[in-house]
Amino acid sequence: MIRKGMITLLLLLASGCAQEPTDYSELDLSVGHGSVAGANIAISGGLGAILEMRSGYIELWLQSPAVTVTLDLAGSAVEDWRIVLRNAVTGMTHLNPVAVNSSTATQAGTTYTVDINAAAGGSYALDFSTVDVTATDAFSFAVLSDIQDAIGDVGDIYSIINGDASLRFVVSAGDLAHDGTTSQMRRFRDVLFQLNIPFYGTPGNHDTYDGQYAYWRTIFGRASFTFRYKGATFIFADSSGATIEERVYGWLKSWVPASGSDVQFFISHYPAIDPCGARNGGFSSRNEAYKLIAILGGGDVEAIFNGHIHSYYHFDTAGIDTYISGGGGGHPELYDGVGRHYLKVTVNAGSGSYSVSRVDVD
Amino acid sequence: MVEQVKGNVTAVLLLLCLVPCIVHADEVQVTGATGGRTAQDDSEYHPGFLSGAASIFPGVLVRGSGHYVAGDKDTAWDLFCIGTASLGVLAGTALYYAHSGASSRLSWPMVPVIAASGSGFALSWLADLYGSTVGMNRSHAGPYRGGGLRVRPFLGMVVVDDVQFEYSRFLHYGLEARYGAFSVTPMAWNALDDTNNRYLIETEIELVGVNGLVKKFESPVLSASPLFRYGYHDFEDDGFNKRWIDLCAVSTITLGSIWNSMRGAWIHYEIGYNREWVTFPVIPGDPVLTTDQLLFEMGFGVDIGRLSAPFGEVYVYYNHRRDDFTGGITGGFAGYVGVKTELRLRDRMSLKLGYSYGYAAVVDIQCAVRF
Repeated sequence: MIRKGMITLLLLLASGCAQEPTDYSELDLSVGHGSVAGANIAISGGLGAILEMRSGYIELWLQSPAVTVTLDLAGSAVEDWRIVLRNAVTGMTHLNPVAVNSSTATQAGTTYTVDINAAAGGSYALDFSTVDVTATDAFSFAVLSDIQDAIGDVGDIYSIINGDASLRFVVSAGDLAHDGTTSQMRRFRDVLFQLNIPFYGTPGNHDTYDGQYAYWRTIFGRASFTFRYKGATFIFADSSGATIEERVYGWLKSWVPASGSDVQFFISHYPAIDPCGARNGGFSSRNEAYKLIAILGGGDVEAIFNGHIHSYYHFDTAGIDTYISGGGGGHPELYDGVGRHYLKVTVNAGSGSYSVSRVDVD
Repeated sequence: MVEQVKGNVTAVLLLLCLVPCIVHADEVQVTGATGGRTAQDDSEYHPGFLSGAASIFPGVLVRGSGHYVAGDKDTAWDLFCIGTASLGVLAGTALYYAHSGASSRLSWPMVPVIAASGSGFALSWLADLYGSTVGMNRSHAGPYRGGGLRVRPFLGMVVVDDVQFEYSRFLHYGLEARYGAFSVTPMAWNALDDTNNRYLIETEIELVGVNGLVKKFESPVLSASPLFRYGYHDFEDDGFNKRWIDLCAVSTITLGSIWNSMRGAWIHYEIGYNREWVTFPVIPGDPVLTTDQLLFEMGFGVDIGRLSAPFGEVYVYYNHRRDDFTGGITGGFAGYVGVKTELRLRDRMSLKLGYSYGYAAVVDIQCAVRF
């Protein structure tokens, strides 16, 4: 009797539920799409969050220095629109103003505003970027991650970044706030207005502690996305759960080979493999980590930028240059001689080269 | 792929036919094994519902509560000391490690201490729970002494639920061969719905224990062995394959030989080092990535049924590794948990069931025949 009971119990156990797969990446699919009063808007690649949309007014938070905004106007839609682009790259311009009657555009800091007049009943693709978006001469960007509970102190890093005119934008591997509450994330974005160049990031585990997966998409946009700028491809993948969702792997497989001869950078929060094996601060599954490396290496990604570990590491991952930089101000790793810092990356897509230097703040 | 599986299965079946002819099974149970410490007076020891409840609360925090309520104050004190010391070491090391920002300079010395002290805290709770509910009601059986060659082929199925990979079902088979203190176990996993194949050979030499190589330390209480594993795992469709070695020290402590209230229970530890070489044929130049990790497993097992003739055992465990089918529960630090069960269906045949839960969920069902 006991034996039968044990066998039954074990079979029940064996058929027990598996870990429910998460599907937060589905939230990315709706980012950058909206409609109001006969007008539909779509941002190419979902590269922006719609902060506000009402008849005649659209306010977006951009996730790329180059975006195409498609405006479909029904016959009943208004024709005069003000488009406000926040988190815009310095020198942004409307590249194809002929299609619409574009009046004067202004830029203050990272906010670009343009008024257009577009006939109702038409569809308009509006390209916004810098005039040199397709040039392959050198440019620089910064990598800053793991700010966490130092939101109030990050202004000094922003000041140093603002003082470097060669930097076009900042990319981040996440952990912008400590617990990812809406108030913390809102505060982070408020402080971000001290920065004179745009900030593009993917969330870290601290940004999702509070379960605010949807809120990230509301204020910043997608968690996994890609853009091209001046011959370089930037690929952001959400690894805030120490894994990358199956759907995102599908995207990665199309994003990585699509860039062809570009210099390719991959930005994600968790390192696939922690170089310190006892600590194991990488992906939950090492087999998944190797799968990711195979995709990135097979697609000729040049460099990986991770955060999560509050120090600085530079190592080789199966031929891919890998940087862990978590110097934004989160509780630091001790005994490593590394304090708060960010990375400055200079890319010359024309020669297919790049260089990385660490800028120490403390 | 299918042909390869067929070939491997055929080899195992042939082996199954051959081994009865060449093997002389000789395994006896150690009789008169030294009993553990008893309560002051067995008549005062009353394990049951009340003591079991006490082992849960306040026992989850105060170790030995169950034994104290049951009347075994000596064992209660022992468990209290073990649990409290473990918690103290765990808190001290974990807090300092956290303060250091999980410093890589401290990880190799501190993470094993955190894991060991955490396991001491967890296992002392399971021991209290077990001993204060069923332990004393059981007769004491000593560990098994293996004499001649013992061979145990096994064949089974592994079901893996991992959203990251196409595979879900594996044919799992192998052969456990033991001769005195030596054992070797080659085994394989061949995916039935993918091109994924895994092979592993495990070798163990029992130095201390009833079968121990070092007779001077022969003991029914403790067995300790070095263990070596070499494995190969091909993720052909995912663009990589890997080889690895594990160098470990494993130990099993028969709790019933120390405390009578825990007759039929044991704890198992494994600690070691893993190094892995991952090759990526899809990356130009076939680069090799070398990684390493701490190996650590701790578990608590009990015999099922009358201990004079137990018909099986259950073993619950935590495993720190993150490179096998299961992976870690969370990002950063943690490995996975699992339960293994063996039920002796007939004299020589047993059914093994395993369930592990981490990043993926893995169910392992095997049938083993002992010769």
